[in-house]
Amino acid sequence: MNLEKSQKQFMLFALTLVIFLVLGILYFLSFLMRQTMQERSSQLIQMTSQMRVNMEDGLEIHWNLLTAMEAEVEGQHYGDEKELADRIKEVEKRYRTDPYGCSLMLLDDNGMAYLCTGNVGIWDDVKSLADGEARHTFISETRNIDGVFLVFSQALNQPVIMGSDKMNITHMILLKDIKTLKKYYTTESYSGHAATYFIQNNGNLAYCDSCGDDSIGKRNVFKVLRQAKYMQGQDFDSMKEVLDQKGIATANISLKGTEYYYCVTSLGGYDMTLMLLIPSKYVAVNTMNMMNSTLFAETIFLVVLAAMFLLAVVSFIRVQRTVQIVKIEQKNNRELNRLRIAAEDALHAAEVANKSKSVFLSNMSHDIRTPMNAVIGFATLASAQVENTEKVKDCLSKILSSSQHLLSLINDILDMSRIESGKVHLEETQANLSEMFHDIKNIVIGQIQAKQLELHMDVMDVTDEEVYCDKTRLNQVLLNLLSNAIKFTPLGGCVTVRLTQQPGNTGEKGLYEIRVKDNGIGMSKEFVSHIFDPFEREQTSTVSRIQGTGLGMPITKNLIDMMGGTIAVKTEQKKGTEFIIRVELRLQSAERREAGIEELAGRKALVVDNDSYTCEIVTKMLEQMGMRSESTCSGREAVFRAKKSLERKDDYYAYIIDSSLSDMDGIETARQIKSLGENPPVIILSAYDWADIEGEARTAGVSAFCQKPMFLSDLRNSLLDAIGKQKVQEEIILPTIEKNEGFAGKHLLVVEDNELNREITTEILKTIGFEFDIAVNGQEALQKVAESSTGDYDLILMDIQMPVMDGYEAARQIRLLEDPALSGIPIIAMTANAFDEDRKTAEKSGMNDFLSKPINLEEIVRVLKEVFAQK
Amino acid sequence: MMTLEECYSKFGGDYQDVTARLLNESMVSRLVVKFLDDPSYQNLSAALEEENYGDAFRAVHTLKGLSLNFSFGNLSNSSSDLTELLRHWETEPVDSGKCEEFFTKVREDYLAVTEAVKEFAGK
Repeated sequence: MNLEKSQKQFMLFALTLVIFLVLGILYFLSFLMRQTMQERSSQLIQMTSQMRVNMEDGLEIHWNLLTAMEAEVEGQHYGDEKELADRIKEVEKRYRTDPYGCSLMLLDDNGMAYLCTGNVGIWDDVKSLADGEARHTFISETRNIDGVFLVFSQALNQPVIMGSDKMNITHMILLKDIKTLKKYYTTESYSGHAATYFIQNNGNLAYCDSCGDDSIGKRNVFKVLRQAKYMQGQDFDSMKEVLDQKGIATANISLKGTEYYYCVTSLGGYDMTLMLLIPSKYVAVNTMNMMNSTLFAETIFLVVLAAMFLLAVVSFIRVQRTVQIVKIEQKNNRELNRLRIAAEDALHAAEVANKSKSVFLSNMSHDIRTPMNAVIGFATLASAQVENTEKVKDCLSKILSSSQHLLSLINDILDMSRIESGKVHLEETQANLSEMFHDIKNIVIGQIQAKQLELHMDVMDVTDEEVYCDKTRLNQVLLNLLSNAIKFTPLGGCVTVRLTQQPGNTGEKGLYEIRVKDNGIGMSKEFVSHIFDPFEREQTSTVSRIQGTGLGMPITKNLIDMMGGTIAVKTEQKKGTEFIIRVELRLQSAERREAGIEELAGRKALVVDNDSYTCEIVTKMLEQMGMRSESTCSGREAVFRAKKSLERKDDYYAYIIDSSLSDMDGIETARQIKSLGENPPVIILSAYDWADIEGEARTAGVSAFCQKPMFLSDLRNSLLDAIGKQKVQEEIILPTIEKNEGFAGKHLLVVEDNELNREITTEILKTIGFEFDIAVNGQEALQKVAESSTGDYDLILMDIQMPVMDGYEAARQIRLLEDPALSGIPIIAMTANAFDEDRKTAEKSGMNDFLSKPINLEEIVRVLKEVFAQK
Repeated sequence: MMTLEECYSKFGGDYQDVTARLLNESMVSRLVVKFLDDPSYQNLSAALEEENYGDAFRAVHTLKGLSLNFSFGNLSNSSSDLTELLRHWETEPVDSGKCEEFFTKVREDYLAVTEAVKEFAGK
């Protein structure tokens, strides 16, 4: 639009310019025209003026001539006409009238004219002399004499007498052939096209020398002139005025379609007007030519100008278009640039995303190995102790918790969107810190033991165990730190995990601190500064042998940040490392569960642990439960104090003894204390698996077992357990099954063609406690029964609708068997049909009873009981 | 994750009934997923195409039994209807139009159950 506008403006401007130019030119042209006309006019005037002067000069001579001749003839007396004529001839000769084209004529008072040739008769123009003037000049066209003459007439002062009659010659007349005037007015200027008119005062034509071309045509020249069309805004009267004033005037007229210039001048002395009539094209031809060439040149110039202008316009348009194109180009370039940058950004983002995907995958593979190891470890353990159901159950439980953790990690991997963006989202669920920490312990215990490390897990001041957090992620963090601690601590080292709840809760949230400490190889200062950057790994000879992806720490940091917590590192090379996590977790309920145990209120307890920190923690917990507590780090001392307390009759109500004491084995301590007689509840506190020491501990009289990390709830449960009350049963994953003792050991044959139905039936039978065999149709059932021995099958459960051989037929066949023990085996029909006729048919086939689907445990039990009772 | 109860309510089954009869939810969950692999419906469909009413009767009878065991509700009813229609296949001619109609209902109910169970199984 812009372009068009500026173009429009330009066009407008150009148009105005053109109009101006045109007007200018037109004005100039008219100016030129006027100038030309004036030029021509003035030229004409000059010419005509000159002519007049010439004429007047020339004519003046004739008067002189006449005067001179007069002197010759004046007062003379001539005898007769012949003498007169001779005299005339003589005078003519003398005065050379011939070259002037003149003839002398004498006129008598009768009007008779006498030439050198004699009497020519009455002169026509006598009347013109009648006014009494001495001199006359006029143009005569007398009949007597051939030709047109300019008459110079002079009255003789003394008349010439002639003859005997005494005729009076009164006038002397010089007749000038008008043609001889030509030399006075002739001009080459107009290419011979100038027509000369001698006009009388009344406007009538006296003589016309037009070279055969009389444009006026009429007798009254003035009339014609008046009627002519005047160019240049003149008219006859204005011209006449000028003529009267200046004695000469010009005009530019058009006669019969032809343009003429005429110039009139009055020959004053002769009462005549001389007019030059010239076709315009011959007037000031040179000037005209000049003007024409000027015009021509101008036209050419204009054309060139116009052409240039057009060119300029075209160029301008072109330029504009080019500018436009350039602008579009530029715009496109900018657009392309922007797109390129966007593409580059997109590429970069894609690369970043790709990298983070790889990073994420590496992270995950790293984090999968840990629980996977636990699964394998416990599975191996279970397979080694497959007879010990309790142990197996325990292993399975631990496998399950690790597996679930593993599964959640795998779910993360499979969640593509998380990989794409490298983001993870926290999912807050209900979590029990005690459970969490125990689970974590179970996961890492294998690794710990493999490297013969010590693991201490402590809990201090944790009053709120039930929180909301992203269990998986928190586990991930803790396992990560633990893995690292284990990884970077050489054999025989020690790893501690300490959970504390900081005071100053807001009521809705609890502030927790977790410290993971090891006495391993530590980290250099340089490394610590980059520890949370991805792919960073310490460059020492020791570490380079240790496997890892270098991604554990950045993930951990990320997760902690997302939880709104902080993580700090304290480390020294060769001394060890400690990670401190502080995080706020939302509490499940603001109210605290009643920690106290009635029976223990006010009672004394003794805590025996070689770690004074643990003693302190446990003491605190016991106090929270309303007990008094003392502690010692020595087993020997513990026994001693136990003895003493008994003596003082202020015995300890309960003992909490760590399984691994420095001076004396914990269990030994327990044994000794127990042997003092009072049989107090003794709880063994152990960092390790109860299974290892259970046997020995039980023999020693240990009442309960508590695994570290010991939460308040754990201690509470152990105490309750120890003093004989029912523990709050934790939900074990494996489903509980009711066993009906009555059916134990009974052997059934289940005949059913559909696999799923079979499975349903057998499942239920299993729960009841039966053992069973399967047949997929009547034929097979018959076969099996026939081949069996007495007591193999106590009962047959027979489906009716089966291929090959249906239930009724099979029953009939079985009843026909020879061996009564076999043929008498109770058969119960199982079918979806419930009609009476079916029951009747079943009975007829020899079946004992009928079970209809849908299958019902109670129903089955009832029927089976009945059947067995009958037997 | 869909619960068994949600699954059952989706196709109009009786969750209370099945968990009462088959001991507990855990067992039902385990077993109901196996229903997806059961060939009874496919057998029924194939048999009807061939107009083999004998095989069709046995197949739908089995399907009925399973449906009853699992308290599948609508499927129990529709398979029961078709079972009765085909019961006397040996002695009486089968009304193929009605058979088609009943089978359509069976198919509808079967698909409803399998959809829900698939979702429950997390497939």
